[in-house]
Amino acid sequence: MSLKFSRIDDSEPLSLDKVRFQPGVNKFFLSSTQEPGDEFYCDFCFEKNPSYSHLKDSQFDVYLFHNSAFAANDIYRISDSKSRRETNRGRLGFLIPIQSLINAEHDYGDKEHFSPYAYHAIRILLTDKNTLPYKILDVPTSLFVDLEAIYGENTHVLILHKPYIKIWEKGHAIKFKIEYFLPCLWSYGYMSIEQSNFNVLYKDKEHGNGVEKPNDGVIELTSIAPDLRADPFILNLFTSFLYSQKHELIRFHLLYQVIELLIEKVFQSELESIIQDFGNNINNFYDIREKLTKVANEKSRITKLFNKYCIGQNALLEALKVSCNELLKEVNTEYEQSSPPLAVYKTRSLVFHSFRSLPAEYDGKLKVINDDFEALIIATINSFKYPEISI
Amino acid sequence: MEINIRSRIIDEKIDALNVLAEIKVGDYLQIAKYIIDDNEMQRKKVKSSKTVYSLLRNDLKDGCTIPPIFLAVRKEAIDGEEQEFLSKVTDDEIKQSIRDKQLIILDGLQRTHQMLALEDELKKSGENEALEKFYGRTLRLEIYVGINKIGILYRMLTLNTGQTPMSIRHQIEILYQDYVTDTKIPGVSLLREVDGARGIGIGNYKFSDIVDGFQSYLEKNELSIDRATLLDDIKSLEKLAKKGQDVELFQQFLKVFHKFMEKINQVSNDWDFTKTDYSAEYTHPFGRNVANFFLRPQVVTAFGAAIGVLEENDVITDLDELSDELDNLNLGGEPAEVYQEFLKNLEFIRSTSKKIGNSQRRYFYHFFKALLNVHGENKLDVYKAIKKARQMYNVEFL
Repeated sequence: MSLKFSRIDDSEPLSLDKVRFQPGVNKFFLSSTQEPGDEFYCDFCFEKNPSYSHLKDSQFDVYLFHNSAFAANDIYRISDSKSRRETNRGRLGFLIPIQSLINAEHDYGDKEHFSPYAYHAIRILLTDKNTLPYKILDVPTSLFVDLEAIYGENTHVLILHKPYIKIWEKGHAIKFKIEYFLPCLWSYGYMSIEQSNFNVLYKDKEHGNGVEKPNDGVIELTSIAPDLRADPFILNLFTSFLYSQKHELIRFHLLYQVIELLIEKVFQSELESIIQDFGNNINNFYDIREKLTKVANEKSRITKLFNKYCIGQNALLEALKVSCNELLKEVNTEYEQSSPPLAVYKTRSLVFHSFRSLPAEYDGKLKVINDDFEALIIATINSFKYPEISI
Repeated sequence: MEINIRSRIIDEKIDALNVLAEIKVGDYLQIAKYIIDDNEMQRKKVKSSKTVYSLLRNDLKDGCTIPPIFLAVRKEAIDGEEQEFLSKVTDDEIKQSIRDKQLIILDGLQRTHQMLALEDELKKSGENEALEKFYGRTLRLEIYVGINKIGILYRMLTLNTGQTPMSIRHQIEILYQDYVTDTKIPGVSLLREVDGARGIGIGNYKFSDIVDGFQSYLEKNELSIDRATLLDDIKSLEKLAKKGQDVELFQQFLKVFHKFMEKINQVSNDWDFTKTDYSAEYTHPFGRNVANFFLRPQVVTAFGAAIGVLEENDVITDLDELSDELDNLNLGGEPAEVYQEFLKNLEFIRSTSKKIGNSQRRYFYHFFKALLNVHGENKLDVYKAIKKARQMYNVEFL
């Protein structure tokens, strides 16, 4: 594994498989064992702290994310309160704009704890140890290795310290997988960079949609709910669909698909419960029939979803109700709804079945709905839980 | 050492003497080794391609003709009045300056390295006959004898005879390296990286930062310099080359920058960040004293770019005149208040910008443009220029 550079006069790329750090000049030097001679370099802008010299690249995991709406000072501590110990104070790692690895003029520039993360992040990027996607550039005549040009100016590096991840795994009793956290990171504007989407994201200079930045410089890592982790649609939503589909109508459709997915699970769970009830008391037939009718009703299932399976989302539900009613009132004042589940359902019916009645300039209002809807969906998939069965 | 001068032509465009000489490869390699060893910038090898350059080494072994190597006579090698020297210098004097190794390699560094590598290869493999044959081959040298360095730079770019183009920054470094020994400006010296950062202050500037500033002046661009970029606008360099026939532009640039540094230091009345009552508000102040503030690379490049643009638009006609105008530089307020405004703006940039370094350069570019525009309303008033720069920055970035 090594960074490769293309050559005009040779089909075989130049592979820089040797990387060493020279403390006196604070630079990384890269060269090729096959073709020794030229030494390429990359600056290290921070003070290398000798008390961390025992750390190795193999003790870190690095993932790449894209976000074009940021300041170089937007460096976040990745945290998990369940993993809080004396050693790490809950910190698992950092999320760092690549701009902030090649420039120290930010709040973490002189921070002792940040320097080893920056050092190992740069080493991992220069050695291509994690085979992350990058752009193969021409051999630089200036001998300067430009990380920003190689990995993309809007790329952010998520670097996690493996020993702290082990603490996380113990606390949560599951294996850590970055896929579980993609919706959480998406909610802050970060999209996972894969081989499949690297080229598109590399060229993306568009500013983001104004998502709220994390508070106090910390991102508390929240995972997808255990019962939803295996669902491919949810993962694709945050690695591909929501990014590639910019039209507000399609965005609403994609987000509502999550509601459809969840209320299907609600239906199955409630049905099982009803059947069990029936089994326990066969004389309760008319009651059971009424329950069955109710659980088959979509509006009723949405209400149940937020009352029983994803509780604690009142603020987000209220915000969504308000934005849905803004659009509904514009179509017909009598369409205004009193509860969030009804407001979402009514909006869905309008969009899917009465598109023709939407005002010509629906886009702006639908965008506001989608922004609120997205926030709710992320909170929902992170908190979904089957209710405890009372015996 | 046998050197044959074959032809002498005066390059009237750049006012330099171009001498075509022939030398044996063996003699050249002795000189080349010395030149490269003597000059850390010449030691840098440009990219090597295993295919092309191994082919070249094989061709050299087989006796191929190599295009002339371009050299320039170092400044201290020229005695007396330069114009007179150029017309009267004899072949023997030119040969002597070659023998005395008073040269820098302008173009042909790659080829020189390959010849040295071949020499090494033949020595190690014990191929003495092939080595003697190689040493005995004739090599042509084109030597520029003249003091107009901008003109030489211009000529190198227009001819572009190198197989691997040298970056303009590298060329500037080579051409002006003799300023490290002697700037010929009283109270000004240039320090190399190896001399350490401690000595840097008013009158003691980092050579690499001044080179960056000068390049920004030539390119009229303050942004982080891509060291591989060649100068795009040859025409503007041509204009400067004409000017450079009468004055040494690098020296003029350094003089006016030093004048600015002296004046800003004088009017700032020993401003020291640590002694202000707002020092607790800034965890990462841009600078802690005047030298620390204005000697950052972002500021020097912005200075260069601003005066380059002002000169191009004929707002400044002469850098020496600008030096004189700087006598009227004034802070426009109490130092504590003025620098607080500076720090506030720079802190805003630091916390909101995507590319902090570039944004800082851009801010300072606007600052210097406002400050040094001798016909403008903010002329030579530091406080007004600070505010104007923020206005312009907001327009561009927000």
